[in-house]
Order: sequence, then structure tokens, then C-alpha cells
Amino acid sequence: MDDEALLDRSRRGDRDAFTPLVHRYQDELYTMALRLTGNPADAADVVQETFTRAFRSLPKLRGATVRAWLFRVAVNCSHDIHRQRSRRPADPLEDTEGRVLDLPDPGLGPEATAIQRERADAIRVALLALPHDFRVAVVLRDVNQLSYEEMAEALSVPVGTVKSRISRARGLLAAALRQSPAIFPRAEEAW
Amino acid sequence: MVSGHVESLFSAAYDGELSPDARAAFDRHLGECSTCAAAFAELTTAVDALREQPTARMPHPVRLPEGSPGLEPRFAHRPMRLPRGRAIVAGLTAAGMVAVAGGVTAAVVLTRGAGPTRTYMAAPAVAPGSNAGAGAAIHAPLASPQSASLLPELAPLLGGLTDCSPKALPISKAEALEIPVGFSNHATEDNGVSTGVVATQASSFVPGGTVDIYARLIDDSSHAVSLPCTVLLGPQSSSSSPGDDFTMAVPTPVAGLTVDGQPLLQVTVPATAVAGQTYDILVAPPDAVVILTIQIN
Repeated sequence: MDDEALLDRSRRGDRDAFTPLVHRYQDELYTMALRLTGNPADAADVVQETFTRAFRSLPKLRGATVRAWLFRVAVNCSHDIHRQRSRRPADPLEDTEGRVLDLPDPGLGPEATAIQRERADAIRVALLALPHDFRVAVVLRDVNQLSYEEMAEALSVPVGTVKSRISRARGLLAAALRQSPAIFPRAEEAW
Repeated sequence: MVSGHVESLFSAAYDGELSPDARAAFDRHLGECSTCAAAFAELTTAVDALREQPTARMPHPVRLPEGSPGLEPRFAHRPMRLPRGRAIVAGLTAAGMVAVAGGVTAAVVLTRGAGPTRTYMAAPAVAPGSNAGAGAAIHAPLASPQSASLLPELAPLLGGLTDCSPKALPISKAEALEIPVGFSNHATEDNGVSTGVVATQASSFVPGGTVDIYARLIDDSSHAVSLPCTVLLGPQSSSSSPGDDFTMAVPTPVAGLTVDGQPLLQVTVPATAVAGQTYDILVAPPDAVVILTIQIN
């Protein structure tokens, strides 16, 4: 059943129709929130809060696709939660410097796992260094692969603004990663 | 035709958004300009690295609220973090509300699924029509004409508010979200459609005391900011058996009372309020998103 049909049934009070929407989008939203906040616990809270708000606000959804709307709510939640938590307890998936320790892929050997972690860590640091609007733009586009039109819906900005933010964000991301040996091995050789 | 450097085309080129002619010109330029070629390669490597990161999995199941989707859209929120003084926001349901017609007694019960019940009751009657002026008490104008713009369940009780419409303010969303210094009792909620902010300078007031209220409503789509209609509603009773009276007062702008040049609201705590009671300040329908509680000393 497609999103719109599930939405229609949910609007009529069918709780069972909302659950497939959760299953369909929870990982996608969690990945987005993880890239935006850099913190697994915050990202999980973003997803939980997003679906809570969506569950209660369904009758107000007009004119947007379910996917774009969920991303819009999730971006707002990410911003709220990130702003609220200047201090938070250490998370078991973080080390003492707050870096996210991604769970290793069991199919990789120790060396490949180490490289994967270095790359993930470099990207996390680079993303968190971006101004908020640009971080959101590059994450929605290059992590979640939203179309320009979906992003315009999700962010309530014109498509032209979406394109300019993506362009600027990618430039900033590339500059932030330029000195990272994990992403650009030649940078290490230059030393 | 490409002249000079072409950084401005990198992103569109990466996305395959250039027309065939533009792409051919772009590629020709890269073949002649090592600076642009290196920069485009760098951007491509960086974006590819981001794109290759695996999808993460939500670590635990999402817990949905009780009840059916969408039945409590206006008031219902699960506050993410509740600083001291912030109310547990309750959903308003038609089934949970009781209005006793034929007199000046009424009660309203706010519930959230099987969660807490909020009842307002027990305030001495005031003559009907006494709602003129800032902060005047209103007793439920029962069976009054309903405004379609009002929350249906509250409309019969809010006849005195039908003249109140949100007033657009020429400030940004960020400015609206900035709680004024000294307004230590505050609540902010975003239901994905609109964001409401309500704040007062204290969390406790005396009967007959004046409450200055910072209230802002932000449309999440347009980011337009307005001064919302608000109501002071109470007292809240711990009793879950409605049937007694409650008081509503309408905070209004007062000349000279501003923050950063924009209006605050003011309301008078009913003189009939009794120490120990609590009253709620609600951003009024149809976009009620916040309830802020004050204590009577």
C-alpha cells in the first residue's frame, strides 16, 4: 500500500495504517538525524519525536508528500533537540571525545574496519562543522537522496534556494575534508 | 561557452543537471583548466565519501502515542524536555469535555489518551458580559455562536474570544524563539505545523496580580510570526469530576508594554484565585500548541 493510501486510512483513525509508515521511514530518518546531530541517542530521540508529532498532526498535513513532510518534521526536531542539549550524559556508542563509534561491519577485516571508521569519523566531524542550513541541505541530498523538489517541500524554501544551499554545502564539505587522510590519502603523502 | 572558473557549476554537474551543451562546455573547460579539474575531483571525492556511508538502523522500536492517529492534533504534545514551570501538555478531546448549559457554570477536562486529566473548576460567578477590557474574567458564554476558526471543542466556551485574531509581527522566527531575559517560566512546543512560545517572568503570582506574557506563534511553513490570542484558564483542579465553574481571562496588549519594540500581553490574575491553585496560559485555538502553568501564592 502506498504512502498516500496509508495516510488516508490513518487520517480516518486507523492506527494499524500508521505503523507501516514508521517501518518504512524510521531508518532513513534515523540516518538523517545521526548525520545532523552526530549523536546516536539524540538521533533516536529525533525519530521518536518525529513520529509522535506526525501521529498527532496528521489531519493538518496538506499538499506535501508523506516523505517530505516527515523529513520536515524531523529536521525541526533535530534542530530543537540539538539546541536543547548542550549537556548530555555520555552515550555507550561514543568515546570520551564524543565521537560516534559505528558498529563494525562483520564482513570486513580489522584493517578495513579501521579505515571505515576513520572515514566515518572524518565525515561526522566535517558535517558538524557546517552551518546548520548547509548541513541539512547536504544531508538531505547526499545521505537521503531527496530530490530538489522534495527538499523544497521539506524545507519550505524555493528550489533555487535548495540548489544554492547544496552547492555551497558541498563546497564547504570538500574544504573541510581536504586535509583528511582517510578521505584524501594524498593529503597524508603530502606531509 | 565557459569562461573563467566554473565552481558554480560543480554541484549541478555532479547531479547531472547540466544540459548536454553545458556539460560539454564544462568538460572542455576542465580539460583546459587544471585548477577547476582538481577542485571538481575534490568535490566529487568528498560527496562520494558521504554518499557511501551506510544507512544506520534505528536502535529501538518507535513508541506511538496511545489512541488513534490525529485525534488530538492541536493540544497534544509530548514535551521533549520539561524545564521547571512547564506544563505537561494535554490533549483536548471532545469526549473529555463537559459543558453544563443553562447557567454560568462550566468545566473543561483536558485529557491525553489514558494520561493525565486536567480539570478547571470552582470560581465564583461573575456577571455575564464582564469580559471587556484587559484581563477581565470571562465565564463560559454557553451555547454562543461558534466560530469556525476556533477549536471546535472549545468554541462554545470561548465566545468572548471570537474577536481575537493573531496579529502579524515583523520579526524573524529566530527572534520570536528568543525568550526575553527575565522570563524564566516558559514553554515552547512545535507540533510540526506551528511553533508556540509562551513565557512569564515568574511561575507564581498573587490573586489580583498582573502577569506580563511573552507569546509568539510561528508558522512552520512560512516562518511568519504572530502575536497569538491567549487565554488564562483555571483554576486547575486535581478533581476529575467536572461540573463546577472555572474562569477564563483574556490577556491583551497594553500600551507601552513591549520587548524589542514588539507587544507583550498582560492579564490580571482573578481576585477570586486562592493560594495553592494553578492556572494555565494557553495559546488560543485554532493553533494552540502550548500550555504554561502558573501557581497562585
